[in-house]
Amino acid sequence: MRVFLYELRKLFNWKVLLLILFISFLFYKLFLSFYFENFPNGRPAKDEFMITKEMINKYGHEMDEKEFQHFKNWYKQKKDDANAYLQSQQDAEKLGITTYEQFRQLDLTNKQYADFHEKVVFADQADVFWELQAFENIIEQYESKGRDIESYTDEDQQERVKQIMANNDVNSVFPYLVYENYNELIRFWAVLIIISVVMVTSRVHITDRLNNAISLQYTTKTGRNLFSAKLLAALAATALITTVQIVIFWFFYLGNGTQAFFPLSINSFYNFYYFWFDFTFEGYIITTVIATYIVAIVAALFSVFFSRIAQNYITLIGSLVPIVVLLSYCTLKYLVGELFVILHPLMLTIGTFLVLIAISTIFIIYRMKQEKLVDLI
Amino acid sequence: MIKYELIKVVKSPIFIILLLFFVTLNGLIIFDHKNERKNLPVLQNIVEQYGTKIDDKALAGMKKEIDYEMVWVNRLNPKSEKQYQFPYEFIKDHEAFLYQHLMDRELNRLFNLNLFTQYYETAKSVDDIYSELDATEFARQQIKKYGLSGKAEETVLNQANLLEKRLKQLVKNGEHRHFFYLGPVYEMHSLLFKKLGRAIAFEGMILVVLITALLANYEFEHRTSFVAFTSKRGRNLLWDKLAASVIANVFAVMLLIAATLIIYFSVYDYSNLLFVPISSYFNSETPFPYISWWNLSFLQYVCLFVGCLLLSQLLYMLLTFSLSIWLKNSYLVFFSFALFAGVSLWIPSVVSLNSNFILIMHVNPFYLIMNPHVWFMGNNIFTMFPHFEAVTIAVWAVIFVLLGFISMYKFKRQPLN
Repeated sequence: MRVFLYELRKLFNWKVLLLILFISFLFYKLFLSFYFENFPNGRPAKDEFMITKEMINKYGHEMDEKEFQHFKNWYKQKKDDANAYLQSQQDAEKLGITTYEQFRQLDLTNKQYADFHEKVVFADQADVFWELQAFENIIEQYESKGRDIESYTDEDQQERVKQIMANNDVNSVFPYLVYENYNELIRFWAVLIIISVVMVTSRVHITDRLNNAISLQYTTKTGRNLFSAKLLAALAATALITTVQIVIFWFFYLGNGTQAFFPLSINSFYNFYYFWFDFTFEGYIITTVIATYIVAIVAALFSVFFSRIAQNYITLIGSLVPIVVLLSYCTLKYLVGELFVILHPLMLTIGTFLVLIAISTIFIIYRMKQEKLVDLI
Repeated sequence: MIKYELIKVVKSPIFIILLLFFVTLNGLIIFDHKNERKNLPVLQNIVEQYGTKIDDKALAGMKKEIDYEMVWVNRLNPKSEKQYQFPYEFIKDHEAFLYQHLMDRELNRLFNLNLFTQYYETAKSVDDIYSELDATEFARQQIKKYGLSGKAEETVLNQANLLEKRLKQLVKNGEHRHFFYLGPVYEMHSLLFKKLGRAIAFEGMILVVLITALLANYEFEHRTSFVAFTSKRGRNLLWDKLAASVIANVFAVMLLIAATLIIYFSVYDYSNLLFVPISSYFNSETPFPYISWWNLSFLQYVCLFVGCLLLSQLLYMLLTFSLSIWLKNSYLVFFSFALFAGVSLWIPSVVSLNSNFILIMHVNPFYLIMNPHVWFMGNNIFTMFPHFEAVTIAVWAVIFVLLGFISMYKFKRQPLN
């Protein structure tokens, strides 16, 4: 226990922590801040976000056919507002535009019309026109739900889409923009976690080697068991770093104001992706967090192994570069980003996790067995 | 002594492993979407027959070929009475028919003809497009997009004038009237210079930092510093290390670039296109075509591209070397370098957009490698200067050399522990 604590303390060297702090800050600025500062990103995304929130208040988590009729009436009312707005505008009267339908079908190659259109939509920022666009998007998505089954070629995927369609969850008003935003954030954050974890845990053995402490340690009985203590220390450090990063992430993410969507099913008519499992958004968030922990632990195991093998920092960093690159690539693509989206075969995702866990564990166990017998020179 | 320093690099197998890994990655980038590029030989045939230059003779010849083939096309569907002029008209009217009644061989021939026609039509429209091109308008749009104002806007518009002049000269030279792989369809320029260029730059950066740090920190990390650096000659060992890292880095980066380019050019055939100007309209992928500041052929552009890549890597080497002298620990050097790169990329995004300072902030060796596909071109408003790359490299070479001298001066006078 005492050795374990010493090792843990050695890992959290202040210089390394400072480096991680700076690198995290830059990583945040370069890859992440955009999705916090620009959510929802522009219009009509902002309007869709507000409307779906209101829909949850009015209809609950799902919107059935009856509620959809109500929604359409709501849309009509908005249209009346737009008509009233157009009739109150003098330029509109001059151009002979009195209804929203006319406005929507304006020939924008005509300079006069284009100017008017731009004035209304961009200069005046007449909210109702953006809202109408959002309404139209939602209505269109609702009416065409399940049609995209054609775009899936695989039988399993089609089967899954049919299954979702049969389920009431598909009427959930969970919008794609919330998923997209979360997905971008969590996948890049997971990469940041991988980098931080590797930066800390990769030093676990190599510092001793470079200090020539190995020959001292490995001539004693306790020394031969150091590998396990260091492994535990590295894993504890990994858990700590990952947890801290995720808590910070969570703190930032709550600022995006998506709490209303947490209990909704993410297999919705309004999400572009379908998932292999029936997740609520809450459940999905927890799943991605677990996936992030797994990826972080795999990264830690590899870096502990190479930290023991490598003779110097260069070899260590050099051998960790391909691992971090490949792991980050998979993390971005399907291990954390787009996790369990049916675009990626279920077996591929689970298989990759299993293979990663298996290889890293085998490396560690193999080394652990050698530790007792290994020559010092 | 340089020889012994080099042996230290050669004896580290990790560099060979990394090189192999990077070349494999680049290979994957090259082979990605290869299927979508399987119709490239259509252009090869055109170039073999008509040469790369677009002139009336070539256009007339192509039209004749299309007319000849259209006789065959019009007979494909016996039920259709209509005589089509161009294959795309036929395809539009017969979408269902194509896949039900035609054999693969016929389909291929039809689609190749369609592509051939696309080259023909594009070639015909080149003059009209360039007579309407407006560099100032392009600059205005970009200024609006990025929100530049004040002095910065003024400078960019001045540069746009320069580009306008160059555009006139380009049209006079007829640089745009050359056949090349269709940009919007195949995006070969982006593949080679943007995707691969960026990949090579970052991979090279990792190699360079590791090799340089290995050499510069070797004595400290192997506990030989008290032996090596205690004599007068000892401290001068750093010069040998510097020379050795130049040799090793140039060698490693050139290997990486050469291997990547060899794979690229053996997968995609450029043999007839080496002397086509890089500013050819066919090369363009966006509405505003690529405009190089000088009349450069594809081959010349590739050479400049390789040179610029290599020089930027040497800049990273100089920075790493100075960092190593101060930090004496490869781990810290590696991540401090990453920090330096991150700061360089981040700072341009926080500078106010209304003074020339924003443009000056883009003159940095890390921003340089973010857009290798518009090197020596006027297509990026932040780098819209004919000598942007040369100035960036020269300025930072001076800064890093000075930094190196200061570090060396300091090192020669500091205690070792």
